Amino acid sequence: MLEVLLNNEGPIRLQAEFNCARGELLALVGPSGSGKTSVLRAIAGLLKSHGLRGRVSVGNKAQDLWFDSARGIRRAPQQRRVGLVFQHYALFPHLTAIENVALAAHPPREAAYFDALFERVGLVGLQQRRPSQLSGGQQQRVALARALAREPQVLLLDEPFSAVDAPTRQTLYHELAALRQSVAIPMVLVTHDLNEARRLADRVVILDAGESLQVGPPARVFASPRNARVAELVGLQNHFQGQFFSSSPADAPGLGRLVWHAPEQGGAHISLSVTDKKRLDDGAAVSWVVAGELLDLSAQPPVQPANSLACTLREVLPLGEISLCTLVPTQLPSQRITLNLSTAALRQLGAVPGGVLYLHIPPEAVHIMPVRHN
Amino acid sequence: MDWQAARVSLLLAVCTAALLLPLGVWLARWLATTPWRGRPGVEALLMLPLLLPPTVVGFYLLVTLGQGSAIGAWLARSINLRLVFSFEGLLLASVLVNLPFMVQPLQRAFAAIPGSLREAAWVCGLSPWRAFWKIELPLAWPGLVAGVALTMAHTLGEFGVVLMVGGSIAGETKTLSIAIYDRVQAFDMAAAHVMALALVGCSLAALAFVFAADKARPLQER
Amino acid sequence: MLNLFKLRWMAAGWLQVALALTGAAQAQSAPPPARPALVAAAANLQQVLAELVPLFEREQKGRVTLNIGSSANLVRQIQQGLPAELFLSADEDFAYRLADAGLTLDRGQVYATGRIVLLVPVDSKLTLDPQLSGLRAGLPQVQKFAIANPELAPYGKAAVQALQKLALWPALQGKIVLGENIAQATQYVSTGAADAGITALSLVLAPELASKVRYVLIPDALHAPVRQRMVLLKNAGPAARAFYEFLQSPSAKAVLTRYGYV
Repeated sequence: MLEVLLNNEGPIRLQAEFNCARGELLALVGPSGSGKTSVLRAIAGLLKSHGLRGRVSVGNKAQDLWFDSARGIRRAPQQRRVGLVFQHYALFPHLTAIENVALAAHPPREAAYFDALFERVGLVGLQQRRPSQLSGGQQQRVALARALAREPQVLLLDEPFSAVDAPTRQTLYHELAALRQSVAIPMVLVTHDLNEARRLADRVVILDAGESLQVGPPARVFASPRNARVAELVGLQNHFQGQFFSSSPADAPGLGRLVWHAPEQGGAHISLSVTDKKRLDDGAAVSWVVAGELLDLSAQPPVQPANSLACTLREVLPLGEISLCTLVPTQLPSQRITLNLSTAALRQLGAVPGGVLYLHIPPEAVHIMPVRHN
Repeated sequence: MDWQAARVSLLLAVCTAALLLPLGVWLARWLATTPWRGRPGVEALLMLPLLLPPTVVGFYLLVTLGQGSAIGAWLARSINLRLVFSFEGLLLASVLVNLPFMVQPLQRAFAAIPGSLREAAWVCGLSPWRAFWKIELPLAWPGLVAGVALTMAHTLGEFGVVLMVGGSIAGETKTLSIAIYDRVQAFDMAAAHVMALALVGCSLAALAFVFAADKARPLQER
Repeated sequence: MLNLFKLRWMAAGWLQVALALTGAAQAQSAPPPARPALVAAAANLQQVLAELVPLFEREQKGRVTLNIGSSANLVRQIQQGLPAELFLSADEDFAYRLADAGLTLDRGQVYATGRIVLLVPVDSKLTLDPQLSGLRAGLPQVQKFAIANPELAPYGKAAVQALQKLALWPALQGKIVLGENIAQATQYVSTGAADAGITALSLVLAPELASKVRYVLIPDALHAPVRQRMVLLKNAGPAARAFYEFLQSPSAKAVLTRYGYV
């Protein structure tokens, strides 16, 4: 179990806390400059900062405590059994692939060991090649093999797929998944690509300006961001303001009321039934998001008008299989709802720009967040 | 051809390069990898011998280490070491004057190594010392070759400093360049020609090494 | 850990220096056997010593290495630690200077008296005569006149004395080219860099110069006598002493006379 608690004042601000269990893949997600790589470097012992406080440990034994500022323990990278795959591989250009990997093996191993390792990462027959003679994907695999040769207690991957072309990336995703079957150590992956995180990770950590804002499985974090900033960072576009009212006798049990209003339109509003999780005060000002995959769109007016809005299809941007659609609620013309619809579904609806569609928002699709008052 | 003078010149060149190599490597690596506010000052100081007339260096060495000075007298008394008009004195002067020639190519070579390679070596479990030997040095070797070649060529051609602190003692401080000067004064132009040509040849050879080393790029994709 | 790394480096580097220096010190304290005597000689003796040294080495059981330069430069170097064992000055004052500084065994011996000559490149239009009237007449054609630096070389001082006595100094003063020592001054004229010059007789008698220059002897009444004195330094070894004695022997004197010394 990898336990990380980091606090740094210095030029690189850090305030991160998370765990990663054996066999789990944790993704550190955030925009550039959010400190993701710095966190990784701190775990590996590469972050040079005298003001760094916190704790990094990989187990219960004494040598598993890699960093503890309270006790003055700070192990050098050489003393941490960590495997780090650098963003641009950092392969030693003057050594062959197998020499690169063998350098990391302590104690020195037999040829058979490396043959097996190369086979595991899919690099059979390329042992004697120099990095300059290998493709990007192959170099990535050598870097991975080198990290694994160390028999690390933690595997760290710094945006390992960002410098690789799209088809190779798909292949590498498969291989990483396969690797996880055979290597049961905590893995921490840094990426700015949300889809990559959603696809590969068991849990994600959303980082912003060095601070870990939310930790959880990707589905939950992306659907239920903790606050507006997280919503922004995970790319949720349907982000609106409103006011929440707790469950009253007029509502169905377990349901409250969300009043969607636009400040610049005076009193115009739409009323929606939402789940009352008993966490918010009655009448509280809130912001809220909807998960596009839970919404229903139809060309006919709904049988049940509750939680259904008439919308004008303002804009359609075809992107191959998917089309990016912008809907404008008739009652709140200043607001925009963005949906990714399959182009086929759009065609079946017979919708054209300017036409009217009916959007149904189930109560469970709405995620409400309190507004922070400064 | 004054073979004795040639031997002195060659010995001086080899000894200077041998002494300067570890010093130059250490300095160059430190300058290339350590961010420190005082670094430009050190770099300027190192450049000084390139700009100063050799006679200035020779003058200061004479004044601080000659028989008449405190240090010179003490050295002569305690360990019987004379640092002017001796090969050792010439060696010291040569090391000082050749610092920039050794350090600059080395510094460029070390600076060209990406920091991530060093870190990758550490993360692989290599101590800084082993990382230096197995990763940095092999990647910086063109700088090493250039530094050694330039230092040796420059030492072979040294004149001003040798004239001031050497004393032109045959077999000890009379280098090839001094021998040329000497032969010209003795109206022996033929001998001067031979030795001058030899020095030109050495300089060309050194330049060839430097260019060849420059072309070898261990860090780049081929 | 990084500090240890740096320390190891510094240690490696400076260990080498320390070893080199101690090795050198040891070498200096135990002089190798049969080391040639270091003789510092004024530049005017260049040609005559080229004959005298082989003669000495054939006759005696000793070897000599020469260090040629202007008398002043040699004195300065010896004072600063040049390990010369015998100093052959071009005058007496420089030799006395070393004796007065306590660096010599005694006040030495006069071993020769020198003469100066006016010399011109072999193709020069100037006529040569002992009173230098040809030079006086041809002054407008003389752009550069070479002498040894009078502060460093006694022959240069004698040249200035002669030119002043003949009232030629004011006219020539602006055209003077100074050689660091008398050999360099001679070289300026022999290569044609200077149109004329005054040098030591012994130098122009060198066979290499015969085809390159013409000269005329300047009367010694026109300058203070160039009495050349030699002194043995305190560290003089047996070879140096032997050479000192040899220079006073008849065979050496014969060679000196052939080179114009009296």
